Amino acid sequence: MRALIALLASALGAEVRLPELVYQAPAALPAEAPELGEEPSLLLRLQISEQGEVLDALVVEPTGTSLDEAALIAAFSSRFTPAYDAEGQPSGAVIDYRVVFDASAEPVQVQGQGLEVLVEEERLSPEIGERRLSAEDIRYLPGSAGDVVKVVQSLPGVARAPLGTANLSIRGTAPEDSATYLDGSPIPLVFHFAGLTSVVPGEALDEVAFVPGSASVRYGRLLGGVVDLRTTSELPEASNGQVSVDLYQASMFVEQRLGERTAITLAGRRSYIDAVLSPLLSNPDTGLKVQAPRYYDAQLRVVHQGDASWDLLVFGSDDRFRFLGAEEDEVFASFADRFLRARVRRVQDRSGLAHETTVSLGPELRFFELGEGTEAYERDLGASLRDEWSLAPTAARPVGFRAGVDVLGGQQAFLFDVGPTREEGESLYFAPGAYAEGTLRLGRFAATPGLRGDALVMDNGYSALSLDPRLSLRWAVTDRTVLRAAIGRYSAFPTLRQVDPGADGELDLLPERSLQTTLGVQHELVDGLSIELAGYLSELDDLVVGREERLRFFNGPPPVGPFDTDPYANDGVGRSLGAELLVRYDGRSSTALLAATWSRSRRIDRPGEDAELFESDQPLVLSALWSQKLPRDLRLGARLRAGSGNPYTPVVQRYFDTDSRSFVPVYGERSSARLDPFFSLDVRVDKSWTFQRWSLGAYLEIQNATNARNPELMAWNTDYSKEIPITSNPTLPVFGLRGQW
Amino acid sequence: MIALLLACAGPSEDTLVDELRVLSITPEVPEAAPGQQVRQDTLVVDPFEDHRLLQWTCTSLAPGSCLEAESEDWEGLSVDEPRGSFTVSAALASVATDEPLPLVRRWALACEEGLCPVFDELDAGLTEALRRDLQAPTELLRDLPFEGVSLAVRGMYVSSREDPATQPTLTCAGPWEVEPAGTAEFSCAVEGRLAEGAALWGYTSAGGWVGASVPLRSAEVGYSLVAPEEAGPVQLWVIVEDGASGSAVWSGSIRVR
Repeated sequence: MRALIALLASALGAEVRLPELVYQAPAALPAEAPELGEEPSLLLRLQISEQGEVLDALVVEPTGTSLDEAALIAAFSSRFTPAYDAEGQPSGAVIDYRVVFDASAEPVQVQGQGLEVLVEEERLSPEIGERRLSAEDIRYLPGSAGDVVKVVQSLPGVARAPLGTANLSIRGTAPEDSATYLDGSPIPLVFHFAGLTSVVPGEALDEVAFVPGSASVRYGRLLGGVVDLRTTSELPEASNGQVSVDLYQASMFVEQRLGERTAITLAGRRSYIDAVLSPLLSNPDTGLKVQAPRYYDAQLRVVHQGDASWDLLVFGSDDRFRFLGAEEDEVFASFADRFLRARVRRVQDRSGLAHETTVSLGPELRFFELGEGTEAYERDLGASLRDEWSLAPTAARPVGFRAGVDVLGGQQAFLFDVGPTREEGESLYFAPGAYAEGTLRLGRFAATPGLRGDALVMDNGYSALSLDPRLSLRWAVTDRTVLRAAIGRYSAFPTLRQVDPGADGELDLLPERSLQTTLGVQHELVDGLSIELAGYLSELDDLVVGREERLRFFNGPPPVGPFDTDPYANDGVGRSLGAELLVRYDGRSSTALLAATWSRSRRIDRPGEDAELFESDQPLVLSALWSQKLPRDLRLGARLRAGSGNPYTPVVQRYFDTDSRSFVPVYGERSSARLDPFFSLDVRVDKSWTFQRWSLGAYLEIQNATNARNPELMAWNTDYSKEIPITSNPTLPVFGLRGQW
Repeated sequence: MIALLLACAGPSEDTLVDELRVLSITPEVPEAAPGQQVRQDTLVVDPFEDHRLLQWTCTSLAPGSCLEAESEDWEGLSVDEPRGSFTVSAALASVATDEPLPLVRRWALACEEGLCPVFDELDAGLTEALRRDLQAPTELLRDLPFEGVSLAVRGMYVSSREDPATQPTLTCAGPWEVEPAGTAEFSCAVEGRLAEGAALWGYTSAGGWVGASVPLRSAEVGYSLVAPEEAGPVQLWVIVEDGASGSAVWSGSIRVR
């Protein structure tokens, strides 16, 4: 977001340069010179672009004659040098511009003396490692099937999720260690079933901000990264809409202006892949019926722009996957993941001082059932409040701040009923958090120290506190090179199940912690081409370990290997380190992104044990995305991904349990084997047709075009004598149509 | 998961036993009293009839330890005796109640001749290292190959109640001969109490049973065998698990014409 900051020219110092007149267009003077006073002049206010063009002009002090209109018309054709900000960057400006006429009404003097200058200047983002993706920029990148949020999966720092699932394992941490937000409000999931598409339509998003680590104090209760989906609080210029259909789903999006200050948005999506898959997977002979997978999401949004911007958003998502038997109530397997949220946001910005309040409320449910006797769910009926004040530093005002409260509360419940284990718990919870940070900007250098405090209180008797100091530094070495560094403490509270006394939880568990350090450099090689290199180290401690089960619900595929069944304890420690490279090119007709990550992530679960690889440890992950505009409204793109396979625990022997008549594996060292490397190529072609009132777009995306059989998980035959890797999807063509108006 | 649920027709590969394998350990009773001597029968399938068999009992009051390890001679330890007996520890009298407790495990390790060092080590006596391994039997396996080695375990309940659970009996009947790749229908009858989860499990030296197991919803069920394409005798085994720790074995054969 850019803010318009008023600066007095005299206060700007030598580094700030005002626009200077390069060419004055002649005024079309009236045939007869009008009657002018003693010092005939008029004052214009001009808005000048970064290129020195006059974008807008109005008469501030008129002569009251026909000269006013003539001077105004001439001003639009005049050229200026651009303004330069304190860092020497060309910048837009608004200047007051006086024109003096002689007795014959010829403009004999044009000057900008005593001008008031408005310099448009970009605010410093407090997120030191943030990678922002504009929705428009990435809409056509392949591999996403038109879903802008999926591009996050190709960014540095993100491990490739097995089987294309939605889990984001960021910088060597577990998916549940990272957080997903919509405009700063937590949301329970970002992708629909198996990562097919995001739960918020890309059309509703202004940008996707991805912070892989070293997040600012704004974000808490996490050890990993942040994905913040951001909607715009601006009103649409005109009413617009979109309808799209593809292999998986149909969606619609309508944005309607209601007068000058209000707009309403209605969006929805329904997958129909279940209608395609169900007949194929169902078996009439056995009575097996498959309802898989189907998902809905819907959004209703009202934005009102007054003195402040008000934004009401009601949105929800519902995913379901079921295997049914011949009998009416026979369910072999059932999975559901759904949530509903109502959110109100108020944003006010007064000369850079921003005040944002967000209140969100709604239920969420995750449910899993496997035949009779295996059932698990997690429920949450919660509310969140964020109230934040911020003032970004500028060249003229070197001090900025951000402070706010971030409060969660509600009721959580869970059930884990698997084999001999039945655990059930319910608790009210209240998690207040507060944060503050200040930014001091000295020329090209900026430092942001901050502090975040969080507490968690549950009515089952559990309570905990965390205090996380953080510091980030930014140094613009040159106009094109910026160094960044950050160090900070991060904390995440244990889950209800881990602390619930009724489920053999431990009331004395502490928050899990990590100390994150990031060092990075960003360099703009030429306009539109930038390179970013970052290194990170994350030391994790007080990790909660113990009570491992063969079925680990909602947090990725079932684990294998010897299980730590001892009571929960803060015994785990870990280290994750890596280097990330991101090269971005945004040209007029092409967009390219190259991402490479080298990383190692290890854990020691209990004191005295050997270090083992983290389950998502992928030493090398490469992604290359490219999209090229072609003549005739064609666009071509490709995404290539390659990387190390995930570690897994091998089976070294087995024995036969004659009671259950099944083999029991004997595992080798945990995570001591690794799946074969991964390779995948997606290609995409887009074509659009523009008509008078609307446009039509079509795309064909071939996912896994080389039909690579990438091993994603390791499985075994029933006597564990043979490894049977579960491979990724075969080649999948996805065709889609999109109509826009 | 999809593949798992859909793969439910045709002969099951899991029923084919074509290598050395301990298929069942069947004590004469599934539930015994402290101090009771129990006869036991172990079924080892060995196509090459060249194996050795080590069996031992582990009575656990705490995970990872066996009461038998405390005695000089490991009670119930036997070598190359598929039919034998062992005595349930009398020390359990202090813990045994009317509620059956799963305290005893009977282990059987079959190895092709010369493959498992434990047999030679036993000749030198029960060392401390061996005692440790017998208490954590999977450690015996770690350095051994998959083929030619089979370790199996059977749990037994201990109680002091007057009417302990008893073993079921199983009889199966079917044709003597079958066409190559043909299907032979067998009918199996079980006597005894059947609890939830009771099932028949079929095994064969060639071909395969249709379904690795058949749920026992009544005392008599049918079970289909798909014969191999090669002519010759085929060994058959059907095992009933009554869902309450009891089991029984039926052995038979069929000739493929």
